[in-house]
Formats: sequence, C-alpha cells, structure tokens
Amino acid sequence: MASLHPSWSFAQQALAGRRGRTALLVTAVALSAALVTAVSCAIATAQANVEVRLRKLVGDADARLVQRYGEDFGDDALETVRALPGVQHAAGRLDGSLTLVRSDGTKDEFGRAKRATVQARGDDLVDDLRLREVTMVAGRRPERDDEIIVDPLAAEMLGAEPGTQVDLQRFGEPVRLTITGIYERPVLGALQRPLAQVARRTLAMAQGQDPEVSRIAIKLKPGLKAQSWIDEHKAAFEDPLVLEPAELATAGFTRQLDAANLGLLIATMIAFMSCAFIVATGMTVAVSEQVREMAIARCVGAERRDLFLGQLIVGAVIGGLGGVLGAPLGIGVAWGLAEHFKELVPAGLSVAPLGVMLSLGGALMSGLLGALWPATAASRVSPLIALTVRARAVSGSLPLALGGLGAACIGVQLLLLLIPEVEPRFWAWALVGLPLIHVGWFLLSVPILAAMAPWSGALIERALRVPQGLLSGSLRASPIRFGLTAGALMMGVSLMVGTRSDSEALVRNLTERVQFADAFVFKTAGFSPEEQERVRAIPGVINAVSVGYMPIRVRGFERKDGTSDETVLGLKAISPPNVVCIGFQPEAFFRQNRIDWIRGTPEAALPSLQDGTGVLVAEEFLTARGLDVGDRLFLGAREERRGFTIVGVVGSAGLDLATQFFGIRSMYMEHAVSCVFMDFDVVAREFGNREAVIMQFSMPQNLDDAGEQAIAAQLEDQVPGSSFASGRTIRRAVLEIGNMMLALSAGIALGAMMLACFAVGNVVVAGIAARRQEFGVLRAVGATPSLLLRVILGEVLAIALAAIVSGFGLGIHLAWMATRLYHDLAGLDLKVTLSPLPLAIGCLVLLALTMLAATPAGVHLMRRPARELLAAARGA
Amino acid sequence: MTPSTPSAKAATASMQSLAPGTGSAGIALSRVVKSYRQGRRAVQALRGVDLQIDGPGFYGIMGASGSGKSTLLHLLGGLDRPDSGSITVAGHRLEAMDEAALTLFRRRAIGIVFQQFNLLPTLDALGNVILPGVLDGRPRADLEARGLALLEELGLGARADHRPEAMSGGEQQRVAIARALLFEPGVLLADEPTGNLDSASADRLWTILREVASRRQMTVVVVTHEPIAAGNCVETFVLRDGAVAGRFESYGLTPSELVLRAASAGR
Repeated sequence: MASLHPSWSFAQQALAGRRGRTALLVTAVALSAALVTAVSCAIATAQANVEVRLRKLVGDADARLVQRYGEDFGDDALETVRALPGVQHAAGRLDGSLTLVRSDGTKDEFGRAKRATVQARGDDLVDDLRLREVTMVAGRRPERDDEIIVDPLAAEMLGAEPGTQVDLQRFGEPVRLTITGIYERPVLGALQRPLAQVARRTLAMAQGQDPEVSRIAIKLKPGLKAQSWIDEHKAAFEDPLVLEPAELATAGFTRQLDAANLGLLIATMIAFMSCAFIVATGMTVAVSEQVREMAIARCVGAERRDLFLGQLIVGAVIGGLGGVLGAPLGIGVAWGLAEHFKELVPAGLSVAPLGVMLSLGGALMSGLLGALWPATAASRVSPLIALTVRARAVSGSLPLALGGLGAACIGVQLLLLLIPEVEPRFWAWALVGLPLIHVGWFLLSVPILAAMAPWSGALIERALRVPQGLLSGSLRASPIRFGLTAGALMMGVSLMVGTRSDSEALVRNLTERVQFADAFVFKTAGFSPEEQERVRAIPGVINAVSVGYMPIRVRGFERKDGTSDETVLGLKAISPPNVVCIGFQPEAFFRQNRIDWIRGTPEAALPSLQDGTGVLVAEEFLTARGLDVGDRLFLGAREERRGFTIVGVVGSAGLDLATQFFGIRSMYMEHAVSCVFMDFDVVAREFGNREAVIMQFSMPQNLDDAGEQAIAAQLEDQVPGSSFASGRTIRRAVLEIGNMMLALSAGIALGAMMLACFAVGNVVVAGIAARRQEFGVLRAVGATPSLLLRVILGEVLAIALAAIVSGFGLGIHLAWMATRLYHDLAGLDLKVTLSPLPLAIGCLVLLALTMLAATPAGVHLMRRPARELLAAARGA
Repeated sequence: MTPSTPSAKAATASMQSLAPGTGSAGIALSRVVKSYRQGRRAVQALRGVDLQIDGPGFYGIMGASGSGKSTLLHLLGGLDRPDSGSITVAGHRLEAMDEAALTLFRRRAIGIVFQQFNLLPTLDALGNVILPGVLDGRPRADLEARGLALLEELGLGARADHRPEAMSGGEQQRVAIARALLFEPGVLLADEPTGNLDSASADRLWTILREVASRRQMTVVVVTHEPIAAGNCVETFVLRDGAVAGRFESYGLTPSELVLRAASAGR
C-alpha cells in the first residue's frame, strides 16, 4: 500500500510555507462556518420565541372539542378524548360567571361589602397548566378546589391580595375560597370584565351544574398534524360534539410555524452552499500560484498522486480547522443577536444542532470539495512549466462556457418543479435543486462580471482616478478569478434579498390574517336605531357598521340539482329549522374585516346582497345542511316565505381569534352553524327588524390609548349597558410578533452579509498576495503606492457590483421558489416582496464592508518596497 | 533606431521634454552600503561601493552569485534605498529623495529591464510599452504613436496587440526594452536581461542594447554574470563581496580573456 508520507510533506509545506495565506483561508472557512451556524441558530431562536409568544397569546392546544351550538357538555367526554391515540394532554374548561364577596366584610365607599362579578374560567388545575401559560403578577396558581386567582381588575374591585378570602355566592351556602394569587390578564379578556380562574369543579358547583365543560383543549404528541388527526378521529364524537382545530391552527399560526421551519431548512442549506463556494474560490486562488512549485516538484520526481493527495489534505485541514473555529463563533454571533434583541426574544438563544453539525461537516466538505479542482490541476502540472518563464495565460471563451453550464444547472432545477407530487418535489428541490441553483448562479457570476467589466471598470477608473484601461483590462483579462470571487460574495447578497423577501411576505400574510375592525361594541339587549345613531355620532367613531341578530325560520330549500325542502338522500335534515339572520352592512364590513371567501367572490356577491336577493353563509352552515353556492333558501319570521340565493361561503380566521378573546365564542359558533348573513337594510325591509347587537367601527389612525378609552367612556355614557372591546390591541400584539420576525431577519441578513464580506475579503487578500509580482512591476515602472490601493479597491468594487447583480438574481430566484414551497407545504399564498430601501441600504453596506475588508491588505501592499514585490517572481 | 514617422517624432519630443534630468547620463556612487535581514541574520550586500560612470555608453557590472550586483542595480533603479552613501543617477541624488520622488524617477528618468521580463499579463504588447506614460497621465494618442514606433523599431510592430503569453521570451524582452525607452531616459538599467533567453535571442538583445547606447546616447548598465555579455560592454566593473573590486575595458575581449581579467581584478 502506497505511503502517504510525500503527500503529507507537500501538504505541510503548502500549509506552513505560507502561514499568512493559510491563516487567511482558515479564517475564510471559519467565517463561512460561522455564517451557517449563526443563521441556523438565529432562525431557531426566532422560531422558538415566536412559538412561545404565540402559544402564550392563544394557548398551546392543537385541537378542541366543542358543542356545535356553544353549550356546555358532560365532562365524561374528557376520558374519551384522553383515550384517543396521539393525545398528549387534554383539559376541560368551563366558562361561567361568579360573584365574589369579601369574607371579612370589608366595605366599599358605599358601605356595601366589597364584591366583584367576574368572568370565570374553570380549569382542570394540573392539566390546564400544560396547555396555557398563566403569568402571575403576585402569589401562586391555585392548587386546590378552594383556591382561586383573580386578575388585577378583580383584585382592585375586591381590594384583595394573595391570602384574601372571598365568599363565592350561589344558591345555598356560600363557598369560601382563598385568593392565592393575581395573574396577568390575557391580551384583552372578555369584554374588559374582571376575570378569575378557579377549579372547574368549583365553578360547576357554584353554577349548580353537573360536572360539565364548555370545551376540551387538546395537545397532540409532537409530529402530529392537527387537521389530519381531527379527520381521523372526529367520528368518535356524535353530533352536536365537534372536533376542530384550536385557535393556533384556525388563525393560521401553525402554518406560520411550519413555514418558519421550512425557512430554517432552506436558510441553512443556502448558508452551507455559501460556505462551500467561498472555500472553493479561496482554495483555487491559493493553489493557482503554487503551480510553479508543483512543477518543480514534478521535475525532481514527485508523483501526480502525491500532489493530488497533498492538496486534498490541505483542503481537509483548512476546512476542518475553519469549521472548529467557526461554529463557536457563529453561536457567539447568534447569542449576541439574541442579547441585543432581548426584549423581543425573552426565551433566549436556541442552538440548532442541525445547523452546528452542518457547519462542521459543511466546512470539512467545503475544504475537500474546494480542493478537488486544484488537486486535479496540481496532479496534471507538467514539469516543463518550471523551466519556462511565461506570463500567466488569460482565459478566452471559458466565461461563456461557465455561463452555459450555470444556465444548464438552473434549467435542470426548473425541470424538477414538474414533479407532480408535493413531497417528492420538495425533497428533489431541497437535495438537488437548491445546490443546482447555487452552482448555476455561482457559475453565471463569471459571464455577468465579464459583461459588466467594460462599463463597470471604466466607471470605477473614473471614480477612483485609476489610469484608463488598468482596471478594466485587468477585469477583462481575468474574468474567471474575479467572477468566481463575485460568486462567493453573491451568497451574502442572495441571503439578504431572499431572507428579506420571505420575512416580509410572511409578516404581511400574518398581519393580513388578523385584519378586522378597530373596535367592537356589544349590547345584549341590542342597539335601537337611535342608539346606533348615537354611536355613530361619537367623535372618533368612523364607518360604524351595525350587525343585527334576528331569529328566523327556514321555510325550505331548493338545490340546484332539483332536490328541495329538508330532504337529503331520503332523510330529513337533522339541523334545526330555526336559524339566525345576521344583518350587516356588506361593503363597510368587508372593508374593515379580512374575510376568507371559501366560495364565491365579493364582487359577484355584493350586488345580490345589496338588492336583497342573496345571502352569505359560513362553511359550518353548508356542512350542517348539505347546501352549496347557488342553492336557494326560503326564510320567514312569521308566515311569510321569501327566497334568497346563497351567493357566497365565508370564513374569517381573524374574527375567530377575536371572538375567542372577546369571550363571545358561543354566540359566534351558534351564528356560524345556524345563521345566514344578509344586508342590514334588507333585514329591515323584508322582516321589519332594525336592531343591532354588535357595532364595529374604525378609529382615527393616530388615536392613542387614552383616546381609545375616551371613546369607550363616551359609549358607556351614550348607550348605557354597552360594552367596548378593542380590536387594535390584538392587532398590535400580532404586529409585534411580525416586527420581531422582521427585525430578526434583518439581523440575520446583515450578519450573513458581514460574514460573507469578510470571508470574501480574505479571499481577495489571498488573491492580492498571489499577484505581488504584478504589483511590483507597476511600482517598478512608476506607479504610486496609492494607485495600488486604488486598483485593489477598484477590483473589489467591481467584484461587489457583479455580486450584487448575480446576488439579486439568485435571491429573487430563491424567494420565488420559497413562495411555491410555502404554498405546497404550508398552504400559504405569499408573493415575492422586494422593498427598495432596505435592499438599497443592504447593497451600500455590502460595498462598504467588502472594501473595508480589502483595505488592510491594500494598505499593507502599499507599504511594501517595490523590490520586495518584484522578488515574488523568483518565488520569494 | 530613431523614430521615423512625424507623429512618432512629435510624441518622442513630447516624452523627452517632460523627462526630468534629460541629457545627463552619468552615474556616481560613493561609499554606498546596503544590508538586508534574512530571518535573524543580517547580510551586508554592499560594503561601501564607489563607482563612477560618466556616460553615455554600454557598461557592465559583473560578479559571482551573491556578490551584490542585483542589490546594486535595485539601488541604481530607485527600487531600494542605501543604508549610507550617495547615489547620483542621471542628475538625481537618490538617497535624498522621498518615495514619491523615487516613483517619478523610476517612471520618467530611467528605464529598467528585468531578467523575468515583468510584463503585465493583462495588457497587450502596446499596453505594456505605454504603461509608464499611462501612469503619468499622458495623452493616449501620443502614447500609442510613440509605443507603436518603438515596437516597430524593435521588429514587433505586428505584435502590438498580442498578449505576453503569445510571445517568445526574446519578443517579451524586446517589449520590456521598448517600455524602458518610452520616456527616452538618460540611463537604462538591465538586470541579467538574457538570463531566460536562448543564445540567438541573447545575441540579438545585446545588439539592440549596444545600438540603444550608441544611437540614443544613453548610458546602458547591464548586470550580468556571463563573461560573453561583458564582451559587449565598453567597460566592465567587477563586484566582489559587496564592493567594486576593479574595472577594465572589456569590449571585444574573448570570453576566456574576460574571465581572466574578471578574476584578477583588484588582486
């Protein structure tokens, strides 16, 4: 078996003989590895914190069991739920109202015992802890049935603190409870009423009920998708019990989290590709100047295999060492980002093991792959090269060939999109297509730079006062070297463009999903027409929309296929004949709320709604009755029978979320299943009802919290018995999450660019060192030292400009691919989003950083005597 | 070898008018000392060199390897500075010049030809020839006229747009000579100019350098270790152990005579 000794000897000479160059390349690899680690850890951190905040906002449940009409049901269903496969936790929750009175008789200012009527939530104390985080302001959570926690509003009304005892008023003897703590209100709380949490059994007892629940929250085992699990097990429950996704899913947040996971995988792969190209370029530049040494070695008897293996060993050492140094650096950068954004990421740093492993393995692979071409070239060096003194050959048609190869790689990647099935298409793209995209654009950087060289070189020469032809000639003559360096730098630009586009698109999708009115006003007894006008007249109330509520009977159906009445496949429909007619003002309502049109379009539906011939229904309505768009309903309050056509099926994830916060979910559920939506004026005209139970309106954009409270106070004055609820507060919470995602993505993009700039800067430095003799000639014939620096900066500028062009190309390509993936895998419809200002700033930062990275080497070169530079020709 | 076309004559006149120190072709070194550090070791390359060339003419500096002849040439060319002593080339006191002045000196006042040719691979032949003029900000048209004229003189008119790697060693060295002559300097220095050439190309190069010295009234100083090269020189200086060991008239001497004279110089 052949000995490795000569190879190790060559490798050692190459590494130790040019320590400065070796250090530069190891640093380039380390920075690239740090890039991979930092990107993956930063995204993992962002994702973990977004998830924490979302779950804190909406709870941790994946699914829920509810009664179709919003009523309470027996808690024996809890055992059934817990017995289902895939259930990690399940907890029953009961909603109700409690009146609490100070046990010690402490009086209020009116001489009455301090009391508070609270909206109470009854929980299974232990199980619910796993599903919803409660932040305690003081004291602790209840652990026994005779313990209770209240929100600050209730505590204020009772004058209570942890340890205070209150009597729970009910039919029969009051029940004494101890307030063990005060907890932070959820984002809103139902209708701004005081809140309390107590054991479910206690609440049921207080309400004189058998053990019942309003809903059962279900947390599934990791890896299970909520909708798939629901589809599999919904038959286990008889109507009217319904298994459905929890708020996290219906509001689309699980899809956001899935999208973020996807983003992490893509970003890590991209960062790995970046590392590989930076290393390959650096290795190629370093080895190309050793050709003469290798030729000399061949002259004295070195075998081709020795040179080949020697280069591979060099690559492995540089890659391995760079990875070992770079991974901790990347974690440090991610930690720094997490510390800087501490307020936005309270859960702290999350280290992505996958990212770290990819970083280490990727660095080693990058070193080996990057050394492969130089090793092959080294093994093919002819000994005759050592005996001749010829100027370096300049490439001819090679740029075009590389461009053709690059275009072919991109073309093959596009072909992968034709795979019909989603999952094979994704994996083909991730494992083959993604590397091909990067290789393709990396190779395209060469013809891009070559095409730009004439005018970019001339422009830069003028700007930097470099003699005409010196820079542009250099660029034209060496497009391969400059182009590949631009390709390595391109990765940073593409990360900036792609990451920014993806993040902005995701945030826009997130915020669009929770678009609804600024404020809601409720009145159980309904708003009379005069009260509606008084609401509209309040300063600050804009575009008030009345929503009416009127019980009505279904007098019959007429489907498009000819079947009619309540007969479905020969059986009477199970759903009740009484429904609720919700009157609303369509145009204004659609403007204020994001409505998901499951079937039909607003443009087609609006005329029919306004002229009184059409109605809208929720998806649950169709499901319950087996109807569809185009079918007709006959409705009547008394004996009349008026026909309406179903012109649309709608849903609103945002409204679903809002109703959950506002505690009016039972009413909404009832609406969803048993109601139709029609124009408010049509309800008045056809059925003589002009009352509204809900009004929603917009408020001035610049209205602050104090202004909002002032409107709420005026509402209470103008319409006693009404309750105000703020929609802006929810949107603000969601926007905060979105802004956090954007800030983190901007940080990731900037960090990625900085690392790419400095890594490529090291490659540029290695290139400068390889061209010492060339610079020596310039000095020998009278070039000033500052001219050398300007030439170097000019070359770097030309590289950066080409990198921006190809980086944008790659970034937009990746962003477009990401929109397709998000659609396929996460069900999100995103668009490529390019914001000019942030991207322009990013480009300027790239130019500045790259020039900064090359400046020290340029200054060092300036200070070297001409004689010393010339001596490089003799191998000194 | 003088410019032939009117435009080339005008360009030549232009180059000459702006070349400082024109007309002076003398070289004088007095007690020049130069040392280098090689790792931890200090090596004294020149130990008090005294040398006087009144010029113009074709002169040689001979010496064995390590005698200090390349160091001497670097000092004469303003590529390095002496530790002590004075150096005057073409009317310029080099030891008193700062880096900026030395840069201009190298650009305009002298021409240097190297053993490795030292052409820029990214420029064609014409581009390499006119490079000092480009650095000096001269009008491009004038430079190109002048450059083409020089290439024509040296038999490379048809290769003006060829890059160095497409040329033989002899052709590349002639391009280097043309570059050195761009500003019609008073002094032309050549460091082992035939070191990488075959004998035929070397012979041709010596002829060119002799003609440059005689027709242009330049002082041409050639550093060489080859006795046959010294036979082309009017006078040859022998360097030994960092100092001028002797000088002798060398033109027309046979190689064996030159070896004897060189060996016996200063003994």
